[in-house]
Amino acid sequence: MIDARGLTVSYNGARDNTPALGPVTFSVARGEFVSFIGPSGCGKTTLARTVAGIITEFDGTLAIGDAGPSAVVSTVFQDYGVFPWKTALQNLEFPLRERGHSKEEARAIAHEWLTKLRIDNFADFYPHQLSGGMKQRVSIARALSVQPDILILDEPFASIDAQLREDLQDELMALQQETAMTTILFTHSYDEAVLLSDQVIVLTARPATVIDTIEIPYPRPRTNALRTDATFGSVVNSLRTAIRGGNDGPR
Amino acid sequence: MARAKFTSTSLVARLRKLGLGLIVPAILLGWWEIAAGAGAINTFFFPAPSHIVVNGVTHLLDGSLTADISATLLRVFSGIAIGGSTGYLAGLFTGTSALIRALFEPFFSAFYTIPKIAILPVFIFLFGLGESPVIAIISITVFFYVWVYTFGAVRGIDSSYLDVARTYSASRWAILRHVIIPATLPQVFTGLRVAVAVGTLITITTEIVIGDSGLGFVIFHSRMIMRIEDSYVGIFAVSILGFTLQRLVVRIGRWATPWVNAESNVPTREFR
Ligand SMILES: Nc1ncnc2c1ncn2[C@@H]1O[C@H](COP(=O)(O)OP(=O)(O)OP(=O)(O)O)[C@@H](O)[C@H]1O
Ligand SMILES: [Mg+2]
Repeated sequence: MIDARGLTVSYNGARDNTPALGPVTFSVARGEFVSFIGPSGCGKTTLARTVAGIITEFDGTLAIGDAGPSAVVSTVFQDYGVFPWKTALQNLEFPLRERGHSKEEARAIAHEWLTKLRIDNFADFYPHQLSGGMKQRVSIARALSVQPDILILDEPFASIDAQLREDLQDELMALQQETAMTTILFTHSYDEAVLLSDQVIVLTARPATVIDTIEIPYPRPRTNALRTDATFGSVVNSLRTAIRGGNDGPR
Repeated sequence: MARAKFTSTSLVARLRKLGLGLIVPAILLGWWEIAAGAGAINTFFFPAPSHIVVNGVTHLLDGSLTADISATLLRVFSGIAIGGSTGYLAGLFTGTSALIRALFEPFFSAFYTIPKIAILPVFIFLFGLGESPVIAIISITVFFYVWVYTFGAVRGIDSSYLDVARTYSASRWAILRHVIIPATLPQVFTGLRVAVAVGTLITITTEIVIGDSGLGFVIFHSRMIMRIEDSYVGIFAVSILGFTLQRLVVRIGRWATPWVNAESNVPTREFR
């Protein structure tokens, strides 16, 4: 579905000649859930933007799936990317209308997703009237509502309290298994990566390269019972060890 | 919903703000009035404010002042309509197209700094006498202010919003309509507010230079024929007009951009 070979990205006018990312090589199969873990500034957001098709100048090759260039890609950005001038509802309606849904359909689908993420009561609120966590849920609802072939999540739960984060992780797990969306997640959290992913790709510090690919042994479908599974802690620990080892000690 | 909750507080706050805003003018006018009454200043050149107000009301009632106010207003509004709409479009085009930007931005920037009154003779030559050169000069003035604010706003759009729209494969038109226009609206209204103030200014100046009607004409002509108190009526009327027009733009701006954190929306404590 996603196949990157020697992918290297440099920003124009970067002070040194170090690229912001790469070279990285990885592939993600259709329906697979892959997480990327790497230190801050290593190029995760850059990679997310490249796969999302926002950054179009890079070295190496990047093939986006069987669906070809018509693949529907949704992104949940680290800084939400929720439009301040649209209400929660309008934020969802906009991409739905762009995908050709009628006004009524778009409205109905938007409400459906706001309800799923339990913010339908705030449908007519502007983002400045919402908390950070609520804005993030709007962003997630918007990304999922268009039923993407590929979902890209850039630290989607970073600014959300632990309780809600677990709820949203469970929600994401269920939805991803239900729809079999190909999903890539950028995160700092070992637990989150183990819980949700089929594979965890470990990145080095800037510019990121792949140092390790770790298979997460749990079969699907998973449920949130996995959190309390006897082996969960040790899998998380082995991931931690792999990452710490690769990045030369504690950060 | 969220707004209604704070209505009572915001009404009190508004009245308080209004009262505070009146203090400084009231003190100035008070001193002036006392000085004039005590004979400390020459009341021929500085007639008492009460005298000016009475005089103004008389002219309002006999219709002469109303005619001049409408003449000025008509010019200001024509200038805002023509200059504002073209300036806005120019801002959008120069902001979004690299080619158009390269072609026009240097020219506009250079033209922006010319005091437009200096090229009034050129306009008279081009448009003849009458209203046309006046409207043209006001429009051009407004054009540049609205252009410069709109252009700056479009250039300054947070690119992450454009990224989001692009990932949802929005068309160019949809990006314009759903991202660029609303994202720039608050700044466009700031520009419009400045444009209204400067537009009023240039209208009055032009009326002083070549007018035969309008508040600028009243101010200048009354002084020429030694009716100083009528000149002050014109000056008072201009300041009230300018103030009202700016308030109007701010109001419309608030209404058009409901997502901008209205100051009355949240009771905040200011830093002291
Ligand atoms: N628009 C840009 N122009 C120039 N350099 C950039 C730009 N965006 C990011 N960079 C640089 O690219 C590198 C990678 O940035 P990126 O945002 O991808 O990191 P990240 O892994 O997402 O970090 P974090 O975990 O803190 O979000 C950084 O060194 C950053 O300075
Ligand atoms: Mg990042």
